[in-house]
Amino acid sequence: MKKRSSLLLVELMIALFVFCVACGVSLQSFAKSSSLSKDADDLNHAVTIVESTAEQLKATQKDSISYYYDSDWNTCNEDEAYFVLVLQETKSASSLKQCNISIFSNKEEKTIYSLEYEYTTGGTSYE
Amino acid sequence: MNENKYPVTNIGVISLMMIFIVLTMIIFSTLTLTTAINHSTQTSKYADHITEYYKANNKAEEKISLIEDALMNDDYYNVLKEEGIEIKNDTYSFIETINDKQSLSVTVKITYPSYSITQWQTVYTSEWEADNSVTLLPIEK
Repeated sequence: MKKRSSLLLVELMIALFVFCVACGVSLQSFAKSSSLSKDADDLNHAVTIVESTAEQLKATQKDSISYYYDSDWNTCNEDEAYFVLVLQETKSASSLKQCNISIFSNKEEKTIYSLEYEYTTGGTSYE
Repeated sequence: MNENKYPVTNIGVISLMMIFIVLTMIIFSTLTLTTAINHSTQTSKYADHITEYYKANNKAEEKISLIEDALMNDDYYNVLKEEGIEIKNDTYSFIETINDKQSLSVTVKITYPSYSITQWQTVYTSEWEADNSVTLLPIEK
């Protein structure tokens, strides 16, 4: 009976050790997955918003551009902003305008996506 | 006879449960990581494609600006030809490369003193190949 108890204890200890190692590996994997998913989701939203802003600029609808977004990518006030759309005009020739459109994360202090964009403002019309 | 009351397998129940739980955890974490990596790769590809498209778009806009200048000044026509703009009557057309598979085809119709863009289309320059492969885990070659 004594021999059985000691065997059970050894087995328990080995099981606990293996379980702890597996837990560590799995948790690390889940954390990495979560971080990757969040980054991918943010990049996806940033690209869509930058693209939409570029097209709005081309259609000369500058007034309808939203500059501040919360952590769920809904438009919000400047104070609650988690992401900020930065629109910088870099060069302006006669009818050709150059600008840089980027999405900046306030909390992580990094640029998520940036796009150099040029558009004409002359007598363009589309058929 | 008393020995048979405690079969040897009775000792391994903890090990068996542990193996089952650990396997489940490892399988789920691997699947989650694979999905996240695929999602991330797909999003990066999408972002790269948008950047490539807008680079071609910017070059096309520069050429549109040149065409606008040409409407004001006759000397610009030689510049247009140098830039690879094809001129046919009142229609100017050019192609900008997006990547090795796609190009941006633009056609502009001149309606003095203005102009209108009649085509702004992404066209495929290489044959489309269906990708039927499924990568469960990215293998670095």
